[in-house]
Amino acid sequence: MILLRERYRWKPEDSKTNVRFSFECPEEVISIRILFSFEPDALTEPEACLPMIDRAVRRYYDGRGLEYDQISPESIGPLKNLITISLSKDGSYLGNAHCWQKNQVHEITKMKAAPGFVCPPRVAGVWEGMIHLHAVCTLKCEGRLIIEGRVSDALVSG
Amino acid sequence: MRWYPVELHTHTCHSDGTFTVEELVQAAKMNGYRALALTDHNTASGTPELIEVAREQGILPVRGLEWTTYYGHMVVLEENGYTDWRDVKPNEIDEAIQSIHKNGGIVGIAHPFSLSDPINTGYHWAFQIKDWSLPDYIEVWSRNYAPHRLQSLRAFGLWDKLLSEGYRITAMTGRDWHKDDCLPCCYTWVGTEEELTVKAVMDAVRGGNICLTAGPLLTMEAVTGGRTIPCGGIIPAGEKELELYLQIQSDVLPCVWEKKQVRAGEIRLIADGNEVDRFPAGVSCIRRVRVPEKWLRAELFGSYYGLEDCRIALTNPVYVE
Repeated sequence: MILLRERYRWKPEDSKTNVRFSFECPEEVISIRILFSFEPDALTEPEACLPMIDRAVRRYYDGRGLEYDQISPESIGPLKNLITISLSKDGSYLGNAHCWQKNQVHEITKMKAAPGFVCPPRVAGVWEGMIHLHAVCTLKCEGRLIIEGRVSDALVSG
Repeated sequence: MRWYPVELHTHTCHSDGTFTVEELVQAAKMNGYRALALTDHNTASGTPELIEVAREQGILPVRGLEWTTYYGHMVVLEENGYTDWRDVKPNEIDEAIQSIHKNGGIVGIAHPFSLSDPINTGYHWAFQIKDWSLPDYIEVWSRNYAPHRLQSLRAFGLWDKLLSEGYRITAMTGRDWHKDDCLPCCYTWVGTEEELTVKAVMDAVRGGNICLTAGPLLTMEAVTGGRTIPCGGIIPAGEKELELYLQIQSDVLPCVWEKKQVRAGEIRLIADGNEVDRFPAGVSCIRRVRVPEKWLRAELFGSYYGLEDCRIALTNPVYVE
């Protein structure tokens, strides 16, 4: 069954913000599957990337000479969006999938959890989560979050 | 004093690392580490496997994670319980560190001057610490080729400033190890009179009994008034002179660092931010120095991958009461 379905539209100004979500899992659900995706995942045009990279490099050098490290802004890029998900259950933090993939699937049961998460004592009940917009580099970014609950081995449509 | 190489900043596929936990432990063993912390980004989900696999391989596992926030990254080790990283504002970091301390953990500021947003998100330390006696350590050397890097120079600048303001904050390295890239890195050595245990590692980090190196190990003990004072230790008030026992061990981790690329030149003694002595590096020596106002440490300079007069090893300071 579908426990949550959300769509998001983000822009660069949303960087460094959190988006909260929550859903309730009925007693009969034994596992949840989180399908999270966003598109596009990177700013690829060099002319768009370069001013942002220049700012980062200037902050790194802080007015000191370029003889250190010899970072070439032209060698950096594309700039990837970093958007991750964290979860809590019954007030306990379960973890964070801190990864760069634009299509993510995380499955969690009482016995086994996807990398980044630990298993909750029980699957049923209220779940809380956050989407962490570490960096939205692209002018627009569309996100999609679907959370499925599985009853026994069958996925039941809601 | 016994010295043990440790790595307390690593990542696996439980966050954005390439290593599996097993591969990380294998790589740690090949590199000679005696203790290993797994510090995946905002998660400790790999810890049970680390404990199991590291113990099988004779490596001491250390629990941890890396706070990976919008305003900085912070390594948290051995916290019992959990302090939420997610809504901490830039001016609320003191309270968060206090909470971690209350839970028995320690914190280290990771790569504070690294190339940051939007390339490496949140890498630059932008949290506003009001009380600098709270962080337990700061990574002055991070990732690969650290002695070469501007971020290291800036981190040393911050560390020196804090020491001179009277804060006793430990300097550490952080390999920030995500994959087995075989690139040159720096090593943290933990000093302890005991066997290596998690408590011994935590005590050494908190207390500053730590030496750092990109190759040969430089260690220091101060002797005054009949007492031997380790790195991080406190010289009693009223002492006028110190004897420093300095030792360089070049045979440590022989298969890991390149002796042709990292060569010892001279030792420099730094007191209260000023160089007070320099002399050619030998295997061991004793130097007599005046007791400084606040702190004194030893640094080893030499050549490092073609760069001359480069800092390649150092001790944490001894402090004056």
